[in-house]
Amino acid sequence: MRNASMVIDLDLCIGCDACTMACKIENATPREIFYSKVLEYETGRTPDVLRLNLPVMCNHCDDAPCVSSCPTKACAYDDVDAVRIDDRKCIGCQICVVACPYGAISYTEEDNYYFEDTPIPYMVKADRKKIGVSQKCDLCADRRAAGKEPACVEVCPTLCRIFGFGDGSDEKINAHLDSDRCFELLSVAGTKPKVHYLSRHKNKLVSGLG
Amino acid sequence: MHEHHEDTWVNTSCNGCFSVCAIQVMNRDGKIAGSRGNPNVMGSLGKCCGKSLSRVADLYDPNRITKPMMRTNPNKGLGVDPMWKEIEWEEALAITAKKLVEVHADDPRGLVIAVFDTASMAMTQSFGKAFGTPNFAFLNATYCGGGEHSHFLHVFGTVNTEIDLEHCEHIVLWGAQSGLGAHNNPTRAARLMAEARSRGAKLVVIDPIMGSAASKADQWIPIIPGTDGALALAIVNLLLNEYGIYDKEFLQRRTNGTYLIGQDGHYLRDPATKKPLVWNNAKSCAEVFDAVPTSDAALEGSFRVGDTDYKTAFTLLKRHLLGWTAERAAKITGVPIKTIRDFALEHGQAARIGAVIEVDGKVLPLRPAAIELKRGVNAHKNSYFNCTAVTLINVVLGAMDIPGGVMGLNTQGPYGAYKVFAGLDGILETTVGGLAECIGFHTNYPPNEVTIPDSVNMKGLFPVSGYLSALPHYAMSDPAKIKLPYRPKALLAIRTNFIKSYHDPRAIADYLSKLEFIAAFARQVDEVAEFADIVFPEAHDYERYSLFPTNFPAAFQTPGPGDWYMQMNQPVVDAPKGVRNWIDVMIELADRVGILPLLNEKLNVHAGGLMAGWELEHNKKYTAEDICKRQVNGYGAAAGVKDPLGELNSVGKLTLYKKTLDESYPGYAMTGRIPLYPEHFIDVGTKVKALCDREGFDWIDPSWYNPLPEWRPCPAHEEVSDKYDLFLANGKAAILHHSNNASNAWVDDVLSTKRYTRYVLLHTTEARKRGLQDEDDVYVESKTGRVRGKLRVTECVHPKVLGTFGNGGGWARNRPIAQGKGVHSNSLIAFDWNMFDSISGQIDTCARVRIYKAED
Repeated sequence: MRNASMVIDLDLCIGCDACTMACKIENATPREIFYSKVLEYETGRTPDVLRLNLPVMCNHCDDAPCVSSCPTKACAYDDVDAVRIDDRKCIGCQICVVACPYGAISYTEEDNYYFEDTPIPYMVKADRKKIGVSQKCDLCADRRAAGKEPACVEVCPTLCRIFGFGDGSDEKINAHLDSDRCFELLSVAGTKPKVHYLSRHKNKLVSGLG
Repeated sequence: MHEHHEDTWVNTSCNGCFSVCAIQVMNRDGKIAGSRGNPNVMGSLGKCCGKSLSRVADLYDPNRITKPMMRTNPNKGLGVDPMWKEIEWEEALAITAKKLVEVHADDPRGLVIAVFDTASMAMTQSFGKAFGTPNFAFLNATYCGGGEHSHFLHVFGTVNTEIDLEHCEHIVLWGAQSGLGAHNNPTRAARLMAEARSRGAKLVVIDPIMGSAASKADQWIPIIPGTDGALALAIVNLLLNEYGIYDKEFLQRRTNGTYLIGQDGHYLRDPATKKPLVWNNAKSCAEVFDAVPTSDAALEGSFRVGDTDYKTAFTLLKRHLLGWTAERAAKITGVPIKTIRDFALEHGQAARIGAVIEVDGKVLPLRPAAIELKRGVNAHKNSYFNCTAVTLINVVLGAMDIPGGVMGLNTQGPYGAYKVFAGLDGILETTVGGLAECIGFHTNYPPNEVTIPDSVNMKGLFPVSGYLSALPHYAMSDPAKIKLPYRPKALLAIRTNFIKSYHDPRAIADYLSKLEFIAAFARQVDEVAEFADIVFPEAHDYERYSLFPTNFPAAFQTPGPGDWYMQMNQPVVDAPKGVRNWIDVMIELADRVGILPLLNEKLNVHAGGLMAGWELEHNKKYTAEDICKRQVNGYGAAAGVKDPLGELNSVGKLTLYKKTLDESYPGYAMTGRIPLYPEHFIDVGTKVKALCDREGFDWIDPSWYNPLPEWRPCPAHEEVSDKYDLFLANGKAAILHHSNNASNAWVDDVLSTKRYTRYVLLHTTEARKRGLQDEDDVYVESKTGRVRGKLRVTECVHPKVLGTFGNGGGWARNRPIAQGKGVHSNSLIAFDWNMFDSISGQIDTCARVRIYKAED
């Protein structure tokens, strides 16, 4: 059990989308498909408005509906409990897309890369293997294999994302997981997400965002 | 299948915005395959922004042009198809050179060079000087700071500022987003801001729109656009006249607040030396300002000298401000009285007047409360006074150029680009050299000569402005009106899309279509290049060398402790076949026009110049690479570095030396006085008035030259109209840089996920009144124009304001990605001769608008 996890400090996120861009580049995602993006919400009345930048991604849930519902076991946990989709096993049935309460899994049958005739060199990596199969964040498995952090973590100018292991052995995130500011998105869905958020507006957000 | 890649990370600089951060870019098998911030450089701290990461897409965009093009349709105008024909380089160069020779022979001043390439301004400056034209400038002053830079030159001796986020505890961003994805050294500032907030610093943001800055603020104070000065004057009034919170020692030592002022508003001067006099409390007599110990100089009071009473400048200011009550300001600004009063008290107390901090064994003042102002304060007709009033808060609290306060960028540093000293009458003077000079800044104290303009920036009519990039459009639209002694005929437009970044595209289109010749350098044919006769395909900065090494310490290097260093912009991959570095093309054109020796001579001098032993020989033809390396080697040698290019390649920066304490926190040792009371404005105003009366220039109002700060309304504030019932405001989105990257495929995609950026923002209550719903298609209309947009009903905007972000709504044929995305709010702003600040020449972005549902 390593419990690959992420902690995102919403008090620090400035919504600059460096993570969105880094993710897009790292994973060579086609147009309109994002493994990570920053949503925006607002609550409250002028001038006491909370305008929230909310980075969202696959939550790598401990009880992941995508894993339990996948008929071919293409959706599965890797050696550190990150949820990954095996392109070779995926049959494109999209049960996972429907099952995920976070809407974190994408599927396209279109060859919708940015430039039809001149793929950007990054796109070579994608090799268009993700067409017709489910795709999502794998916490940058290739980078982790090379001893690096996920791209969204490395790039963040305010250091608002922390990648670590939730098995109790990782000092980087232990304190955060115990913090009063810590919460998970849609915890009512009961999927035990391993992406944790920190916010001083936690109570407002938990009631507002569900 | 095993894929073998040759990966090389190259240290270079990002030219995606004016900050020019140090980055590392990966070359994989001859193509760009990644980029990241350079961890060795303090300006970026190993990070880069989403804009920077996205720039790879620009290189491989199929809309990029790779051959020179000539227009075949002689008609020019908005929406007119130029009917491009691809031509060979030789033909494009020959046509352009022929026209330049013609203009040069007739009157070289007829050439105007517009540029937005901060890494290579030395070329435009030098080319212009060699050619014999004074007309080389940014032309995008809707976004740049005519009033702000002029004002900063007066009070800091430099053109930009940053808050000392390492020490500040009460951080106020006023029409600014520093540390939240914008402005100087943005990635470093983002980290420092995050750290400051984590340690408990309070962030207050004053802005009509809740943008990224206000979204992180502890307090957002929404304000009606262009009324910032009124709010600031009320705050200073509270500090001085009610709360009694001000830094007396600072005001005595670093301002002219002690100078004695007569009934005529002028300094009382020593008859022999002509120096201003102050009242010496210890001796009970008036003495020249520099003969009186700081603590003995009376800051406040009325004193009899001979048979006349004189008041100190500070006394006049303090009394003048009595009229600026919170009640009065509240009516103008839309900020509640209690908010104004509470803010003033909290900010004043947070300054902890009298506090000190030890740095490097020296005890310095600590003022952990600072205000940073940017475009929101600056981009108005009342720009100079808006900026002055806001900075007055920093000045009376002594939070200038010291730990915790607001810091001028590189007021003291290497190369003498700025060198701040006590000049005429003891007032702060500065030199403006290096890159700053190339961008078009010039000194403004002592004031410049008042004359009929010789250049399109109308410098002669704005003697205390330090930056006049707003005005060329007016001059070029009607050169006779300013009595320009020649006619602008030809334009070189380099990486600049000013028709989108200036007001009312129709007005710009009108004069552009009348110019005899336009050549543009561009990667895609943008809205300005659509008016060109010749378009040269230019290299991306990942494919070229820049002049001079970028992020010159003289310009935008972050203030505070650290090293002085230089970066470099060098190619990571080859440019596509047929694409050239615009700098090399300019050298070629100079050669063909016959001004190459002169160009080399000027390049030796400008942008910090080339060190002795590394100058260009006048009669030799160099490349951008040659010149860039000569400067690196020259400065490296002067700093005692053995292998400067090697250091740049391996580390990504060339360290010159560690900043001294004086350079890190110059405020404590500076002697030049901040003109709390710019007495020289009286004479300047008189001279400007005389000239304007004589020449019939009724579009300048010399009555603005007043040594006491005031707030006057912008034209939009005075517009009486029930029809146009909202004020337009435009904010910055972190992922966008002007209209520059609106056509980037990845940026475009990311923006499709955003809730606000491409929308028109209207307050919930106002939407309800009008029966408008979220996501409605709407028209926004002003007297000037109309744009179509999608409505976002929100609480994130002042109820009297209609908010927009970025510079959207593109229409250039060759930029399909940017076409029609977002809103082009500049189309709503009037191009009118009453829209600029008579002091600084800054252009106003205020407009009254209305919104209604688009039924078509």
